[in-house]
Amino acid sequence: MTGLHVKDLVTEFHSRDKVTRALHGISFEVGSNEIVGIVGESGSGKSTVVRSVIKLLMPPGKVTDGTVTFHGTELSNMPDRKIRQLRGKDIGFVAQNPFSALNPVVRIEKQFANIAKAHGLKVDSESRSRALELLTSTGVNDPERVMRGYAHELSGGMAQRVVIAMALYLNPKLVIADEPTTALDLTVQRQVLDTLTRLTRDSGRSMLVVTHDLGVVANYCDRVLVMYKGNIVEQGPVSEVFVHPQDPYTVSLLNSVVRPEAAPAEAGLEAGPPEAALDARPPEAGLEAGSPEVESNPLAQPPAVVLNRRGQRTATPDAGEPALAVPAPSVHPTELSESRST
Amino acid sequence: MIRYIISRIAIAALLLFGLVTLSFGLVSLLPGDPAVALLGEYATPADIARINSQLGLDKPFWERYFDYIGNTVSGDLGKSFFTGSPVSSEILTRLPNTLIYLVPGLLLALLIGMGMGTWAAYRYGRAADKTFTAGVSVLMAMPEFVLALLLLFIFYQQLHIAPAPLGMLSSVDIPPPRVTGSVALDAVIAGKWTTVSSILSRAALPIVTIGLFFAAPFGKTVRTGLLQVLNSPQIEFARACGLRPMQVFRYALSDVRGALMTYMVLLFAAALSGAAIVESVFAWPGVGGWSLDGVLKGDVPVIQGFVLIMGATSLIGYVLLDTLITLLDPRTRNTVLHAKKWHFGLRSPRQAATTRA
Repeated sequence: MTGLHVKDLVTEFHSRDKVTRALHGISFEVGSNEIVGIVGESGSGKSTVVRSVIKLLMPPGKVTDGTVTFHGTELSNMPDRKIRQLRGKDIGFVAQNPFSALNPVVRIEKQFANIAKAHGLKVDSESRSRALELLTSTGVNDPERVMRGYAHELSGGMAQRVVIAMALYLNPKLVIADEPTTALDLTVQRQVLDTLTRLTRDSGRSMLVVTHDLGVVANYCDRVLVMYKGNIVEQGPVSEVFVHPQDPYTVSLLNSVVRPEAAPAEAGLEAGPPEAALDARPPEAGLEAGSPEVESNPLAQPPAVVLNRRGQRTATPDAGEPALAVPAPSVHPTELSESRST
Repeated sequence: MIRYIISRIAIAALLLFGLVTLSFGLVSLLPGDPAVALLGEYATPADIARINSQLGLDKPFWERYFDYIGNTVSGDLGKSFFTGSPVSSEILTRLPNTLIYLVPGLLLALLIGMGMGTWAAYRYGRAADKTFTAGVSVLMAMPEFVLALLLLFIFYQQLHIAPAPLGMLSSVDIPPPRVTGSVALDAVIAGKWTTVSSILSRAALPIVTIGLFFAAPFGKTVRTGLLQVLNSPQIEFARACGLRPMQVFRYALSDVRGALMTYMVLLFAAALSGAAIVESVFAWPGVGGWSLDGVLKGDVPVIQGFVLIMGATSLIGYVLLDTLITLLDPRTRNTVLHAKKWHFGLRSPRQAATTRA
């Protein structure tokens, strides 16, 4: 049995007087050489899924039921020591914000060496050149300098490339990326995602990407899991789910992305969903507040944000001016600079 | 770098000057007349006037202030109104006596606090953590002297392990010949190992008192700090990379070490100013009991001398701490090492970094 198989996974958060169930018995799999996206709004349990799978959850979070099988090995009852050896080596992890993930006071070089050491590998010129090679292939300029430096000396995009290189350092079979681009500038997001998927596909790895960016799913994933309130409400190939959404939540999620009819191609931003999804969209569904479908939908609509041609963010597109759909950005421009300084 | 340290020292010196001035002003405002305290209730006005002129207390405030500053700068801290012994030589003899139990006590506190705090943080919410939290509450609610008396009760009165709390030397110990002024150091120099071991056995309970008393707040800080870091994305990523628990702990520690070092220096200052309590219980001949005596009697030079060494030791601690923390963090290290201009902490290193970039 290859790939990752998750069955009936239940995760709960125990507090003194109550138990909050974050995942209600979810099942999915990630096949070899497959990129699977998990989408859903904030609090839907996307990140809890990946943390439950590789047992990164800290108390009070706890996996209480279900099985996780990775390439035929059962992880659910594996001792912590064994799981630890699996992480980083067989399953790589790309964190959300590189500046809070990288150790600020340890040289990048040393952080690579620590990963090698943790898995009983020799730290020598060979392991170092492997890191340099990876940094080069993730698109880091002057990897020698980066290796000798610290995280705070890097730009956001470069730092995230370093994180990706660390995740891929020991050649894992599966990469788990938890919102790998939310902390980055819009322009950098795409480059980083291109790099990440290229490195995944080229070496026959599989990847599980958590995102709330439907554009990321449309452009980079083979299959998609749609999560809502701790359940997977729908899963399937991206083309299927985006073209013929079955669950009302998926429909409303897709509709939350504002796609004006005449999206100009020359705007250069291609983060929106593919043409197929555009065509499949019911004509009456859209931004119009009075639209019956929106009104009748019991689920909360995530706020949509539209970039007009002048680059302003508005809730509604300028009248007469074609606007371009961008899924609601999850990160404030200020958040990036704040996270850098911490 | 050298400029940075010099600027810190300059600030510290200014602060010390301010502190000395403040202490002089406040002590002068204290109610009570030293001459009356010295001569008793029934002294004649003529006697009081004579003593006042002897002590220089009849001079105007400003004259006394400038005399005092001048003498302090030249190393003369005056003489005790009551014993007549020079304050500076008293300090030189007594400060080592205090440090001999204070420093090991704080190291013990560091060890216990670090160990227990880490243990509690890693077992967050479980029995060990709850026991730790309860223990910390009990220790923090207990005044230092109660803890000292409790330890005396157990180890001296019941178990007969510890010697009687009657000072640093017993009556049979012969004081070593005076070389440095510090009895313990002189004993080591003279090679009188029985005296040294006698001092150490007498210092044991004060050390344990300080150790336990300060382990509680320190351990609590360790626990809180570590809990925060252990749930941070940085540690999550380290764990996701499969780092060993010890490596993860080291990463976490590198994040909290600045805060812990700062807290340790604060505890040192607190321990020094609270030395009077431990020294009263154990009849220890350190600066604490001596200064308390000075305060109760209104012995102005003694009070001022104590404030001066308290301030100086704390400020030296802060300068060392500041420098060390700056050097340990690569984010601030570079700005300091490659600083072009003088800046007396007006621009934060982070601001400076952005300006440079």
